[in-house]
Amino acid sequence: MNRFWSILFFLVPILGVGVCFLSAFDIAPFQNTWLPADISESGKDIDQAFVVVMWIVGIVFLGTGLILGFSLWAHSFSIDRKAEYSHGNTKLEIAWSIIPGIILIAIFVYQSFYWEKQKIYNPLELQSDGDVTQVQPLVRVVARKFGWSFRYAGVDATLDTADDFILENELYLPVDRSIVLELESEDVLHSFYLRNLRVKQDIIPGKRQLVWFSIISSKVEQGKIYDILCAELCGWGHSRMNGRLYPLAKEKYQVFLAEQNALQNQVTMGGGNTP
Amino acid sequence: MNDASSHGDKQSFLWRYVFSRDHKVIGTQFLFSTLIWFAAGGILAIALRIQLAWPWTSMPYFGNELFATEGGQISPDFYNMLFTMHASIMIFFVIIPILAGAFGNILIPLMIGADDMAFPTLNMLSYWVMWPAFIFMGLSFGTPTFGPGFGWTANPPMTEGPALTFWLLALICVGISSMMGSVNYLTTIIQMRAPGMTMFRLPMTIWGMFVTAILQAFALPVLTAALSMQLADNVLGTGFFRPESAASSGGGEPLMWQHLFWFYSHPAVYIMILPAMGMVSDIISCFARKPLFGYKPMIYSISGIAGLGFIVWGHHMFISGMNPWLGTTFALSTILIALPSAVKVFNWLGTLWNGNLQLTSPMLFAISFVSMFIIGGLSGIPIASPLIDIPLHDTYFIVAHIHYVLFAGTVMGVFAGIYFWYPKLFGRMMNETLGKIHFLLTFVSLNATFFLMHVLGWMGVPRRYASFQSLKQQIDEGAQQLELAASNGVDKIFVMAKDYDAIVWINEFITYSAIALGIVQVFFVVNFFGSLLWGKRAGRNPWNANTLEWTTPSPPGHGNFDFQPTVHRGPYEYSHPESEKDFLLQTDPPLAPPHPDEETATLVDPTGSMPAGENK
Repeated sequence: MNRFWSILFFLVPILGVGVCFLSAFDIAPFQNTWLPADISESGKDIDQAFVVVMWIVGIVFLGTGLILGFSLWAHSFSIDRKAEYSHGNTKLEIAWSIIPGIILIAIFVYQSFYWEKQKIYNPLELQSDGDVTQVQPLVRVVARKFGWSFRYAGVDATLDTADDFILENELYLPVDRSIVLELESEDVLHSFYLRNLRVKQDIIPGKRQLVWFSIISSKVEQGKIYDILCAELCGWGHSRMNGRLYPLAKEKYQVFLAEQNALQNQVTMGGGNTP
Repeated sequence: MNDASSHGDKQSFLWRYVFSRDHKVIGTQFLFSTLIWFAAGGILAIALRIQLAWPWTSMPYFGNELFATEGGQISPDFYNMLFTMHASIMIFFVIIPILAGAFGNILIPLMIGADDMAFPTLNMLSYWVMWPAFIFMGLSFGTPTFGPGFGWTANPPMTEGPALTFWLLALICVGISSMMGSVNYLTTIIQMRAPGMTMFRLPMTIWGMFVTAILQAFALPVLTAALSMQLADNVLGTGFFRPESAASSGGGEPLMWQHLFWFYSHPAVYIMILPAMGMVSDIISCFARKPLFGYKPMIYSISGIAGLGFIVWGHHMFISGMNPWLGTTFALSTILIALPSAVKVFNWLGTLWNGNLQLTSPMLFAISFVSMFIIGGLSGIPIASPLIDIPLHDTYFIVAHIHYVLFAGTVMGVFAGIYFWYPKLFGRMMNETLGKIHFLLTFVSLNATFFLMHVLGWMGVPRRYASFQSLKQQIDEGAQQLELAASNGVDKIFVMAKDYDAIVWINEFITYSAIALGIVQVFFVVNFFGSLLWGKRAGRNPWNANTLEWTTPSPPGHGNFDFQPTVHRGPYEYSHPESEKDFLLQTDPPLAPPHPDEETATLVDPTGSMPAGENK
């Protein structure tokens, strides 16, 4: 019976690591279950960090799990013998404190560089070769129960001017340039979640947040739309708070802005409110 | 010995079994209450799993009763209530009180050689304060939404209404109960140890309880304050956590709530696992017939976990809008807390290695605790990094992680503890065959339930979604609109739509497994109650264990010990080469006493009353 139980515990790391592999290599029945397609510039850093850490924890998982299973296999009870009488081993304790300690610190240092790049620098000042360029937020995202309003800066690329226009749940963004979005919430906590850009940011009412990223045109498959989700519980409609992200080539984005501008003027004239 | 316990036999049923001040009765009261709530929380979990697998179809029982006009289809609010109450009940009414309230109460005096707790009346109150909590939680089900639907983290400003008031009052009562318990445990462990029981001769269970009590004593006041502030926001119209908006003139700061809440609720994660780690250490050492590997490193590591546990709460808030520099510091402390956890795992493996393993049902549950805690601990490492947390935060990866720690970890440890100490508490053995069947089926179905949640997590599937159908609908609609416009040459391929098939089958698989996980607990219930009546009678020390509780009669009478225990050694002297038997009770006289006359004269040999043959 000991053997049976040890096989059961052997199966844990084997099946566990197995599922990870099936998922990572798109093998049935785990097709399309690995990380979502990445279309961002910096997403590769996050994905790479995830894969590195998964390799480390996978190896530890397999190692400790197999040792556990083997202990049960090899040391089953016998009335004729006694267990080893040992209270521990100081050298072993030191070794298995220091080695994991070094690995953990290494993980921390490794991820810190990218975390800084991802979240800490000021996105409104682009620095290159000593020049500082001021960057304007392209779109103001206003979250409310249960949808997203996108206020576009318009042709003049400045928010809160007359040529701004608002689209509900539809976010059009140009590719191959750095994009800064302003996030606001009208009511409760929401979280702006772009799976394919590795962007997630909670939005707190009364506080303005910024997110920034670039979409890489070569990673965007022609004609794909990407989802915008809410990742922070916000009420009964939380799961329905979805928007759509349309990456556009730079020229097409300008065309899109001009079209919207024209459309807006048309609507305004139709309403009879033009001065 | 206090008056209540010494005169216990003369008291009426009400005072002996209901308003008892005996720690064992109070512990048993906690045990039964929490097991009943465990069943309630489990039913809520299965209900929410049914919604996730077959969204917006008729919900059995619940649905037809409450949503008859909708054909039994539950509302999205009701779904939010299900997961909120599942978490609230499991955390505050099951795991915390079953570890500290039930096991802490039953084991602390027995294992340190005391006749009762330091403050028996306070101890009784700590149980009875749970009842207002039960009632308030019950009342919150009676509010218009059938209960709170804001998630167990209760983030303002989403929280409001009568359900919130009842929920907050319930939690405040649980906090008061925990506070009274922790003061009692600390005093008892520090002051009432038997002669010879030094701190470094305490079993790991007691160390786990001790460190947990410290955590509770220091972290709880913050939660209680935060709960009271939110209560004032809700009832009195103050604005601690509600920002200025159309709905409220608050001027408060929602992030402040998150800081205060997690300042308690992260240490609470360790409150919910350290006692289980202690119990599992004792059980593994006993059934490996081998001293615990690295007793002092184990103590240092739980102390390390507790110390670091106070400065890691920010990892729940990496993307909350908190200053990202803070994220860096919290990342360092969080990643470092993996170290003492790893040391504990290595020491458990060291204990198993070269042991003489008796795979009884408590041992199987204890080993599965280690096996599962490895998964739960390792899955914490990616999300300890704020960088990797960006895609994984608020996805099913977090759900998998917490359930591997709290269900596959703590609950399996609790089962180990129940199977192990049941003979001491009720005087009868539980059935081994039923116990092993229960273990096997629970182990398989829990992994089937929780493992694939990791996969959903790295797919980026957000948690707390009532269904994923609307995603697909929105996507299809968007594609249709585009097709109509056809201005940008976009066709109707969509990324989430491609993933959608996987989301559907994984969710169905998880739901079937979760239902199985619920059903197989029948083996436990049958075994638990059946053994009360028909279990084999247990002697004082059925497992040939070392610690003090096994020197008392089973079940122990009022005052616990029928002799004054004197401790001569640590709790893990199994397979001592100079001893004939493979265990040495902590009260056994020294093997080669330096002054034989002094040492043995005052001793009563507790093993003398055991049935023959048990001492091998």
